[in-house]
Amino acid sequence: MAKAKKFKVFDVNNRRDKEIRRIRRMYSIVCTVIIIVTLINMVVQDRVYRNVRDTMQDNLESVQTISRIQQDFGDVNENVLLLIASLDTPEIQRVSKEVVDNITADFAKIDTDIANYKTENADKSDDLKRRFSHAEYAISAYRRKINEVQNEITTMNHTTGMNIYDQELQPLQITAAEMLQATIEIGTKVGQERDHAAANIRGWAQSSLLLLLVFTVVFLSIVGMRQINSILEMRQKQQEITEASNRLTKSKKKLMDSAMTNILTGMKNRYALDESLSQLIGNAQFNIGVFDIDNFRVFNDMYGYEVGDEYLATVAERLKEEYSEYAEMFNITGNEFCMVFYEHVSDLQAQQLAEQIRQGIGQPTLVAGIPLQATVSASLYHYLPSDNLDVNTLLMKMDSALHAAKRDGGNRMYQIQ
Amino acid sequence: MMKKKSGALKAVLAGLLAFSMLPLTGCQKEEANQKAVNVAVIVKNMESSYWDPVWKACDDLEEELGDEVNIIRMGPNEESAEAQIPIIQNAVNQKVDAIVLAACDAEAENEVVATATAAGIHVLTIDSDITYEGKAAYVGTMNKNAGESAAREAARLLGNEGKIGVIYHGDASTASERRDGFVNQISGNVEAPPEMAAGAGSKQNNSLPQETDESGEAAEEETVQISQELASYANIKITDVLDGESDWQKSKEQATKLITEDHVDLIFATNRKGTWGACEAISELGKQGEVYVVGFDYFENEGKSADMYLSKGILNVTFIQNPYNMGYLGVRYAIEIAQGEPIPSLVDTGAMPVTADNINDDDIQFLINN
Repeated sequence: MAKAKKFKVFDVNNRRDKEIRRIRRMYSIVCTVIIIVTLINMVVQDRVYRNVRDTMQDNLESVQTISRIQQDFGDVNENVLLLIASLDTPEIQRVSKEVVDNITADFAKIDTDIANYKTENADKSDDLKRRFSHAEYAISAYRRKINEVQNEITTMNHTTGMNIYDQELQPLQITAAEMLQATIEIGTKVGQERDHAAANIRGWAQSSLLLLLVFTVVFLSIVGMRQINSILEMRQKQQEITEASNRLTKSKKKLMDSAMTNILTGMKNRYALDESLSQLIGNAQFNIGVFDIDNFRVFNDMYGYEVGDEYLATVAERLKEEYSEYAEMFNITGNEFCMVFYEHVSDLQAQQLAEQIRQGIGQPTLVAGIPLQATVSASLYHYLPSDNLDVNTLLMKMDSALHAAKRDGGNRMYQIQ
Repeated sequence: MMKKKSGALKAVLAGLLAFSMLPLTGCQKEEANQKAVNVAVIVKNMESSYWDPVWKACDDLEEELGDEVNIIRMGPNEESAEAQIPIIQNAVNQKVDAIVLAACDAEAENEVVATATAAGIHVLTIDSDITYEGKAAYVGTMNKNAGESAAREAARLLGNEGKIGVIYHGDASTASERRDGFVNQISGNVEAPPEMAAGAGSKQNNSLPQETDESGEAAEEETVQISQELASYANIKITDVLDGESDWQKSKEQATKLITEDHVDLIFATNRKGTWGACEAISELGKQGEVYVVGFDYFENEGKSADMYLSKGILNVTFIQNPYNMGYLGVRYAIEIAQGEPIPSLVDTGAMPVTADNINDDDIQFLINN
């Protein structure tokens, strides 16, 4: 039994350790995952941010370059119109020189910006490059026409100039303006698409973090529940063990009790007396009395054992009722009782009570309609630790005093000095 | 334990579901903001390669604008108003947002276009216009302007002195407009160009402040100015204006007649067949360097190309239109007007004079190759 109990405890401990190790491992895995995902997230978000920032910067620069081209080309066009307005006027020589210089300067700036734009956007989409090249075609065709008529300009009349402008230059000017505008729109759209893609990536990154958070909460809930369960399970097991142990103690006590109790009278027996005395004898003073019914065999012989037994049971019951508060009672043999008086009972009181008991036992008692009466002999010992006796010696002393009382005619009590 | 597990599983699934929906809702929002503009592009003849640059422009726009535009390509298999009208009606029935139309006939299609505009569809014409005033815009070559430009080129080649013969290409409006623009510019039988006198309100005419005055006054001034220009063409004579019937061999015959009978110094042809015929005639008569040719369009047929005639010095100038720009700007303006933005009502995509000197320039090569 003891072996099984030990094994069970070992099993519970082992399981608990295993569970703890497992939970620790899971916690470290989850923590590692959280750290890794968070780090990846940070890196991804940072890259996305940089990418968007660079795209926006690129786009801004491109838009600025195209705006400058638009501005300069607009200046060229205004200068051309100024020149045409001056045709047929005396101002034409002066104006043409100034205007031609301005146009040359503007085209130089446009050339620089076109080259810049191409360098800046060398890695961009074909759409963008194609659209920009259309703008470039229109600008170069416009320029070619200007160069063609440059030498004739001072002799040209206003109407011809106006017609050339309306019929040949203006279509190119409109085309260039529209194509430049379309280039800006494509660039902006590409930027917006990248921004949108970046927003999507950001969204997924944030979602994955949030998902991880939910996962962690769920995980912790599950682990928490499992921990609570295992704690409850362990508690229950421990309780079961305690209960089993209690039951064991109780059944053992019961066994002990039955071994130490006289079945007939329900009083403790000789073994119990030995136990009690061995507790007391070394370290306390106490009063002990032994009571024996004189000639009890006569009852058995006259009325049978059943009546004798019933008589003893009745007497024992009466003693328990009247003297339980004064002494611990034992039924040593069939008709022999022993009282170990409690500490609160004084020596004198013990002597009186012993006498009362001796006489009480001898009172007439009705058993199965038969009035039975007997005399009782007794011995009383006021024990002191200094007497230094063992239990057997003490009881032998009590017995010999009792026998002396009986030898002297019974119905008396001898006190051992 | 089983019950708990399924509970945890449910929580995880619910989480996953919630997250998978996050980006979805984002996308739906984006889509709501960006409704595609449906544009029907209707050409004169689906089988003619002349419209390839227009389709190229449509492809480019779709690539550039993505979801913003949905272009429906349409057109009859033969070039006639009868065949084109049901196609326009079909586009109206499809409830497109805008129609970009190259009209087969300037008058016959007015009625069906009117039903389109009544249905709230913006109609823009490209290449060939209609007379219906409810259209949103015309984007294309101003053929009369192109004829006038050709006249200036001719005068420049002749040094303002010489005889010119004209070969036009039948009854097409492009033929008569280019012919009349040319002839009137040289001979002085000129009225003020209608788009200028009417102050067409486009981007074109707000360039010079003095040109946008009260219309009557402007028209009067215009007449005076044009007659001044004509003074320099006094020594140029147009000997004959002949129909080449848009056939290169007929055109060659007419050109031969002009050279041998009228002894012209320059031939002006109003389309590719006319130009081809004129070049062939000069080549055959060995008159290169003596008789100039001012032509129209770029051609490459039966081993004879405009490029070749230019390099031999037979062809001096040919005017090339820009159908790519017509398509590109036409559809772009269609999208803009459908989105409620203002657009110009008249856009001249111009005609580019191509010579042996500039034929290898990038922009000219682009025009030729598209």
